[in-house]
Amino acid sequence: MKKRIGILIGLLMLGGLMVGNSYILSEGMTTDDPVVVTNVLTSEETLYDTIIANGRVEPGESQAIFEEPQHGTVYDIHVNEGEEVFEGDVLITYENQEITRQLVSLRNNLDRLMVEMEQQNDQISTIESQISTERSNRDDDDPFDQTDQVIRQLENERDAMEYQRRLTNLQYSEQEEEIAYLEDQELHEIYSDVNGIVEHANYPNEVEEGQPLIRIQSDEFWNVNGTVTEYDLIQLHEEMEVEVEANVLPDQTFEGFLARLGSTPADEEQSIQAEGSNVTSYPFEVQLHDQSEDLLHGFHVNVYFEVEAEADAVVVQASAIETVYNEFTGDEENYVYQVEEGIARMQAVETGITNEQGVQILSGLEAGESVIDLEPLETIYEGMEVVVNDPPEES
Amino acid sequence: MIHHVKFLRGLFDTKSHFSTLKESEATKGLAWRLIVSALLVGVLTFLSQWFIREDLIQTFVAEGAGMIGYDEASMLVTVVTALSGVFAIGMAILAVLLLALVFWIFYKDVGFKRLFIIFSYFLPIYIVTLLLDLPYYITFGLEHQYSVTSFGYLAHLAFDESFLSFFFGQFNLLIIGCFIVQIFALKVNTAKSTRYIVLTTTLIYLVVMTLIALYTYFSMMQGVQ
Repeated sequence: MKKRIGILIGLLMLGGLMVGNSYILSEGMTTDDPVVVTNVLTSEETLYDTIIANGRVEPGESQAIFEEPQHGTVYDIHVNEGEEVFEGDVLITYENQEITRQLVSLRNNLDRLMVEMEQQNDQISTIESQISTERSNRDDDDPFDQTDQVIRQLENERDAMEYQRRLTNLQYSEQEEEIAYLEDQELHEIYSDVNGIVEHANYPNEVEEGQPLIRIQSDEFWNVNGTVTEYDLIQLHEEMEVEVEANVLPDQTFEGFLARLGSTPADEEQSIQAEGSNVTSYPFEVQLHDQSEDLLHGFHVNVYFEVEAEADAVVVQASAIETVYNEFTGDEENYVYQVEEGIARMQAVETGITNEQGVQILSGLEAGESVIDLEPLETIYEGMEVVVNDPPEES
Repeated sequence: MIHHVKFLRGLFDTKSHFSTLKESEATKGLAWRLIVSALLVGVLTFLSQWFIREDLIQTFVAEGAGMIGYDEASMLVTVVTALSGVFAIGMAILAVLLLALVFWIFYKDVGFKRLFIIFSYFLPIYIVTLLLDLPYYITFGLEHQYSVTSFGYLAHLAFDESFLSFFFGQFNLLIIGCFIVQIFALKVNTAKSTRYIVLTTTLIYLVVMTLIALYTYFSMMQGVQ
């Protein structure tokens, strides 16, 4: 009896469970809700491609000062290595010893002329005194008096002496001017043409022949110098905007413009090598818009030139593309999903250029069509029930 | 003494039916019952798969990402369905054998042969479970994820975790039936205490159920990826 009741209870519980499960199944309570998807719109736009070239950071301005023997010998170098200098600062003073010697001679001459002038003044004064004396001794009543004759003679002597004094005076002035001129020439100063840092500063006996005594690198703006291949060259033009990334500063981007694009090969040796591989490199110079303290002279950088690759291309954002490996053909095939009456449908597409703008669709989609953004979805398959969340976003 | 293997009697009059097994020197009727049961399991498994054939074809086509057409998928599903029937036959006998082996570790005094006989009584329970589930496969197709005799659907509603649904999906007529039959059968065939029997049986069942639930869960996760 007890066993039968047990079996009965068991059967009743089983029946109840089956009825409950049947209800759950028939009501579709375990069926997952349709997945909510977001559509993105394909657009028609001009696609850009990026040309990457290598370059090196160089100072925007620099000044190299070589020894100039025509100014004499280096008397003093006023700057030291690493020192900051500004435009107009004195860098080097030359001393011309020949001029120094001339100055000594001229100054001696000047002294001599001064003595001469003093002597002449004394002589003129003496004559003036003699003339005064003669005039006071003159006897107007004596018809044979010779005084007037003497006075005239003395006056002639005085005039001659005054003439001599004027000549000496003129010589003195000329000598003074000459001294003033040579004094200017005695010490010759060289000034800085740029604001920057002194890279090195040495006296002539400390540098090799042909090397500058002082080199100043501008720290106000940087240039990037590099080379591009002939294939890239034809797509570039001066004044185009560029982005620069230093290899050692991967998280920073610097903006600039293409200041110069060479029309002759980068250098002779490179040109010859390149001819063997049918590729010639040409120099370019990029000027950075903003000065960065993080950049240093000599840093290697990548320069990104954005060039037009395709006009009126159908573009869709990359997250809408699913790439499937076809085991039969061994190729990778690209698909997008479109919503048709609440069902996700696969659409094969042929893709072209891929960049930050998106993926170019060569065939399989038209501009303006909407496709499902796959990024937020865990899974999607042909025939999956979906609900579109928002109006399509333009990719 | 000969033990007559009678499945229905063993299920409903378990204690007295298995009391003869302990003293028996031979059994009668085990082989053909085992074979027929396994064949029935195979047929019912095949039919279960056959009734969800259309759903399976659609899934294959969808997951094939356009590389598998309907005809290829149909052929593939037919082969898989047929193989699943054959596989079920083999697995039915293998499962009995494996269970006997596992429990033999804990019940040496019962002996492997007797354990094998006891676990063979699980096959009719499985057949009943399959029979009860069959109409649901016909009606609901692939939506019928768990046995209708299980707590899987309730767990699916109660928990937002697939693993728990798979775990409770195994709490069905088969497991509960097997558990009861096994407890009673072992009780009359071993000198071990009832507590020991319940404890070892529960633990092993839980471990096996957890392993199956984990396998199903990770298979599903891989499928999603």
